[in-house]
Amino acid sequence: MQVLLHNFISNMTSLSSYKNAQNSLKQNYSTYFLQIENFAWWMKKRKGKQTANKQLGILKLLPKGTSIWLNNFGYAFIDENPNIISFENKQNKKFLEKINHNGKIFFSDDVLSKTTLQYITKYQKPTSVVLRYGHQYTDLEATAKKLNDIIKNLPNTNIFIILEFEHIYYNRIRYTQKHFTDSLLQLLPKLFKCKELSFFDTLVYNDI
Amino acid sequence: MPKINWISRQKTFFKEPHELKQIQRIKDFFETTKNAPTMLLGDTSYFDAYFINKVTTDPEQVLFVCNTATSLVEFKQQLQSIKAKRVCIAVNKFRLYSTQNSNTVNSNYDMSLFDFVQNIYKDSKIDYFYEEDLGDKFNFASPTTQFYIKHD
Repeated sequence: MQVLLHNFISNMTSLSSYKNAQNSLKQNYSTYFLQIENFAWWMKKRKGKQTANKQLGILKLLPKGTSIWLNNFGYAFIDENPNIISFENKQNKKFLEKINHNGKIFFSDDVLSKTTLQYITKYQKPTSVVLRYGHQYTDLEATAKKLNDIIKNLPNTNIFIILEFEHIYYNRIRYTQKHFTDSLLQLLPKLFKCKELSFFDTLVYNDI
Repeated sequence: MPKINWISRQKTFFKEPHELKQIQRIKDFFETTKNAPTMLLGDTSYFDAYFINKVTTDPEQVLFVCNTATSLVEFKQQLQSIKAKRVCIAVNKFRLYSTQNSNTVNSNYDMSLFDFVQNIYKDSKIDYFYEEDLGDKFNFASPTTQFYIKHD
């Protein structure tokens, strides 16, 4: 048996014309932002709609008062709930500014940073915070650590976390989604519980 | 919004002509044999024009693109049904799921996925491509994990 393993760091020369075609090949997601017109259109029309389908359930759970949505398409739901304020990463600013949002989008270098979360707690005084949890996390332990850090910086508010399993890099051969969620709940403060939003999306939330 | 496949949609994000790396790799694999009897399985509409001699039985080569939610049981059955000299399996690893835990497999997902496929194609040489970066590439949205198998 002969096995060849490649990743994108080392695989560039393994196939003939592949190497020669490098200059016209794309793989980097962040380069979307260099040519944003089509990407912005897609984000607004397709992603917003897709996201709406799984997030309608959350709108019903929100308590009265200000609801902060972190990097989570909150601007798409302001008609449904005018108390929603979006915090988005700065890299999205260029195309999000094209969307009419009545000044309800704030931008931060990192919406999940300690500083941003503390700013939100102190100056926005939200009754709820909604965030997505996806490709920036890699496994259960890293996930639990990051979420516990976030939770710590958002005291006295209801927290809703959408686990986007289509983006989480966990071992899908070793574990089921349910196992991942159950194990994660054990690593979070006791008040957190879960609810399935769609096949690949599970909501983890507390009820203070 | 017109309904087009995800590969074509991704390509609209860039103005200049280009190809996605993972797609170019597939084209390169079949470059010299693209006129051979080819079976296309799964999310392959983007490749309809690339392969001229498409067949539904007795293929010489197979391209299987798995880009929808698929259980490991289904995935295994699909792989076991493929019999051809040349096979490319391109899978979106973020859309696979299991229905039961399996604590004995390698803890590294990319490695355990390779083991999974190698177990099915036991005596075959497999050329394996996978994406390590998790934040800024297309790997969560398209089949960037690829297995190239030759029985020539």
